[in-house]
Amino acid sequence: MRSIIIILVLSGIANLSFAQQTQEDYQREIQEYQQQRQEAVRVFLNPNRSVAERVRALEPYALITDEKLIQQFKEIVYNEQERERIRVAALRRLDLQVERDSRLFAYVGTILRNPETPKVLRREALDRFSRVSFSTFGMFGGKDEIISTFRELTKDPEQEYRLQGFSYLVQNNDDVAQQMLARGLENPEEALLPVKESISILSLAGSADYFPVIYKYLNKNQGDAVREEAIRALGRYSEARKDIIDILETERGESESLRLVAMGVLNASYPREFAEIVTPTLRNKETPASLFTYAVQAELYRRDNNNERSRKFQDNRYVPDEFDRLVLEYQNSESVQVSNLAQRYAKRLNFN
Amino acid sequence: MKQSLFALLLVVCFACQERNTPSEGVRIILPQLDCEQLITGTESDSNHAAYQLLCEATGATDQYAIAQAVDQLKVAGPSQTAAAVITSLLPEYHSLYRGRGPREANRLRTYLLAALGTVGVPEAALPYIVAELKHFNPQNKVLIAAAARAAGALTDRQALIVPYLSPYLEPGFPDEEMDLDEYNAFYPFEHPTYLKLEVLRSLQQTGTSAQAALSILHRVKASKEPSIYTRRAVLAEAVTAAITAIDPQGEWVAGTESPPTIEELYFVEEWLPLTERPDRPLPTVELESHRGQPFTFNEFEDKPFAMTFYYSSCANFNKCSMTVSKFRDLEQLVAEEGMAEEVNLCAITLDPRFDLPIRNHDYFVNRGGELREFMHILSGEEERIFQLFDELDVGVAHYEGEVVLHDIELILFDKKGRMVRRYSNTHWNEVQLIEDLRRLAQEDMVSSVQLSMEN
Repeated sequence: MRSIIIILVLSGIANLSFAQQTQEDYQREIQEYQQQRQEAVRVFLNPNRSVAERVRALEPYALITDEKLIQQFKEIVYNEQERERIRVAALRRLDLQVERDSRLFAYVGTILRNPETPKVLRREALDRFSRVSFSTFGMFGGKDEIISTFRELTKDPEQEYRLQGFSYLVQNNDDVAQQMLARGLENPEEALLPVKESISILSLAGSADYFPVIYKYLNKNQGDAVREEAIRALGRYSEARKDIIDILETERGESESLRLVAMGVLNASYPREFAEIVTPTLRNKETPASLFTYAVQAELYRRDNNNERSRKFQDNRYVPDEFDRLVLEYQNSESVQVSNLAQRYAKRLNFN
Repeated sequence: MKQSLFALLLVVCFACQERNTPSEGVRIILPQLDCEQLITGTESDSNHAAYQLLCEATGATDQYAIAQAVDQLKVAGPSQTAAAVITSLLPEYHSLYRGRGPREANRLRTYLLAALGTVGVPEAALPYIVAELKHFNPQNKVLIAAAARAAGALTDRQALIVPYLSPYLEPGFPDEEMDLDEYNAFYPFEHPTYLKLEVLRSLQQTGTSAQAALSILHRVKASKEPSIYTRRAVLAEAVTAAITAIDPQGEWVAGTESPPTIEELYFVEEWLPLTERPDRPLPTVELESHRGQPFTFNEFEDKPFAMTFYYSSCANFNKCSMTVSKFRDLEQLVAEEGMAEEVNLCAITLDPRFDLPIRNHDYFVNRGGELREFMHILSGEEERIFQLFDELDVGVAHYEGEVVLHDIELILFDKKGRMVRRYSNTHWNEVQLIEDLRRLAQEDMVSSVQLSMEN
């Protein structure tokens, strides 16, 4: 008994000293970090060091929290005589301040709107501004300023900025931006963005309004990238349903990737009819394994949930439909991938 | 049905307004405007072609042609006929909106509402203006601004609108630059304006009747928006102008403004007496209940019922989500009042493609609904549901199965399934509705005594 007490006391003392040591270690670590950061900032603020040295020194430190330093960094950002990479590095560390300081926020907006701003600085301004648009400030107080800035970007000489402008506006329900993109699809000479990007952004609006204009590009000979975007955008458009189903047909010789996109869209848009839609494609032995895998996985996922299964059960027996029977036929397929999947399908749905 | 009902009530509407006291709420019964009738005799009018185009407009009419006709009326200036013609196009169920996408339909409706600010606002437009201001969708600030502009042109009942305008002046309410005067707008806008600017101008036009807004106007004047706002100077000027127009003597002292005398507007049709109810059988369509069972209105035989409409993916929380919450409260009240065996309540989805029974069930339960025996949340095949909406003149338009526009509605039916009263463009008052249901439950169809009382 005495030895047990001694062991407990000793282990308690050991734990205590270990905890104390750990705490001291932490404190030392924090102090070291602060000293290193201080040193890095000192290097960064030293105009006699090279730009590369100054920027590299600050690289490991993402944010600045010291009020005095924040002020110094802001002055660097405002100083148009300062070298751009130094201004970029300072601005990046002021991420949180952009949404708190209306002067800084306005300044970032100004350099973003100006196509003459040095490239790297403008890119940084875009990143800061895009982040603010998701913050509380962007949601309420300064939202109209953000909207005005992105609206100006829709006419920017650089496509990247136009793209950012339209993406933000369309996602924020901006009717005019959507109209501008739709008009560009109707009249390519007026287009502010390439077709693929226009369709991709317009589909973010999720509005049926743009189905007819996007539909024109579904079978247009403008490359698979454009057609893929059109398929993705038109999942809910009844007029396009048959065209998308037709893309699955092996005889049409469409690319595998396009057929996969079509299959994905049909799965998402017509879940109840999906099995029926893809059965003719799966029946064709030339159908690529990727399409077979996608269709079977998607349907397995659906059928494997209890709700769906309970519908299929009659008298405690699962009644296979045409799709099930077709998948079972592939259990002995020459393709290992296909036969494995068909076997797993049979097992999961308790056919065997 | 709606047309005939309104036509019947046209004669009595003004008398009704006189009779009501503030404690009951103001009942504004408005006539349905018949566009063709409105333009009869205007053949020599230079605007006749525009009137005709607007009256004949359907979902197939080019949106830009409609906008052009509206522009022509705006250029001609205030006109009772122009105002009435434009107002006749505002109901959500109007064929103008059928076959158009939600964006286009909203854009057209916004343009029509904003145009009323120039050509004038007939009283029949009031429910639509109030509905847009009251059941606003924060995502659709342009539509709110258009309603605010129209409100400023009201010549009567302006004071009633003020409580619906003031909240938009709160500093936290988001705003953005927009153009209400150009249908085919591009950036930068040719006629830039803001939601808050439209509200301020409307209050300025309302003048001394907008006393209730003085408190918030002074608050906005005292608040300091960051200097970065491009709208700051324009709004500051408009705030001062509004205050001067409302309180020219500068006598207002904080806390002394009189509250609005009427807190709520009820857009409720007059109670239809037994003898005047249209003897029309209830639609026989087969629907599907939230229990996953087939449903027909025969199940409601010999019990009065209330019917409302909603859809679970509605983005405007002031509309469908609120409708469901109010319907849940009504369910609770029916149970508390011991009327569970006497009445039925049903809510029908406006989006049958998406709102399957299980989703309807969950949507109500998640909002605290108990889905008692007398509560029925209905879905069904798209074609059947749309047929039902047509038969009942429900304020909704669809495109590609998507809800384009919709209003808030509740329809009361008697024991024989005949329409008795409709609550349009507003959420109902549960207490009033319970009284209505009780009255219907107690109605004896063959009682000559009651017949004579109602007459």
